[in-house]
Amino acid sequence: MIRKMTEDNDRLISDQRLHAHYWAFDDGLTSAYYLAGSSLAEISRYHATLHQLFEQTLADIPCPRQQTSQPWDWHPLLDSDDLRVGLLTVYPGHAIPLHDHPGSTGLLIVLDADVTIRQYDLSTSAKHKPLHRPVELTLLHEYRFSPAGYTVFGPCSGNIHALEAGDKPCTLFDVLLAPYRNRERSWYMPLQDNSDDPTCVHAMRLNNPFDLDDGQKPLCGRIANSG
Amino acid sequence: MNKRKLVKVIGLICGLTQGSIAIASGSDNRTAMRGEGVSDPLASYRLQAKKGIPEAQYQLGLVYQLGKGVTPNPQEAFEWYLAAARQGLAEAQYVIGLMYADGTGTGSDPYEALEWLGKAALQGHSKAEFAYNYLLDADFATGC
Repeated sequence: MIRKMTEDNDRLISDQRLHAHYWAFDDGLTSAYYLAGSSLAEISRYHATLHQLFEQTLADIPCPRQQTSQPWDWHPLLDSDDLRVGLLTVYPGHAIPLHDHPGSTGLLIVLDADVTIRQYDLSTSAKHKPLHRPVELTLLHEYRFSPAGYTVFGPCSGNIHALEAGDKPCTLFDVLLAPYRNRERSWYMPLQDNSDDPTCVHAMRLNNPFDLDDGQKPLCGRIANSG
Repeated sequence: MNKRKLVKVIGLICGLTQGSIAIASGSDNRTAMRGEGVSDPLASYRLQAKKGIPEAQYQLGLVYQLGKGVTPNPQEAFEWYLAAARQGLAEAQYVIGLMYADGTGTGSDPYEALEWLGKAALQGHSKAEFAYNYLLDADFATGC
């Protein structure tokens, strides 16, 4: 009797989680289509594909294991000219620093564990001085998400963002409409420790890795001492 | 002394004390405006930076880089950051690395950038570690 009740309860919780995830998916995608200015034809072309990928993911959320010294892993599910979908896992004690996806609209849905996401825009003065260095960023949103939490960003709104894992690996379902190329992305490295007041950040942009010959690279290679 | 008188006396004492504090702080501000005291942060940083205190040198670098109360001067910022970085301050080593990578306040130099970022990273500076690995290796920080 008690076992039956426990099983029923587990099933109910599982159904509620599934429902919350699908709600996040539908609501998030609606916002993303709006931000991207997608046409009805585009929406109908994307939607079936995305729904199928999300369904498959929920049926079998991968158990994340850190394989490399990288602070995160990216598992691609689809990479086409107009859509990029993947599973993003951020490891405990790690963060993905501030970066942008120029021209893209994005949707991030938390599948499991907790994550903090901060979204920024270039400050008004920085928009008028695109070449000024360092750039000034203004905090738009700060969210601490649990599973089924989601956020969207557009080409001109909240596109610069950072993610910080909690005490467990956090996996997110990540959709990019109109994907950018990696070489177009900038990382924004803060000049000061802004953990006390993240509302305004002065940062230097890093655009591309150095094009060094192997013989010129430092012998020590990558450094991995955090996390 | 009855209760009402006692309250009046306490109120008077408090008023006088507040007044003297206000006079004292006005005096401090005037001194600071003349640059004679330490309550003007810029004057204080400059004084301590010239004495060779790395934290003050780093702060003075920030003042010049961001133009906080002064005209932004990346070259001057670079010099103060460098002075602090040479003394082993990880935060300054990280910023010097970024400035060499970007060519701000100095010429762009990938090797100097990696050297300074590497020094900060080896002291446990996580952002320097990320910047070092990213600039060194095109395969790092892919996806997302």
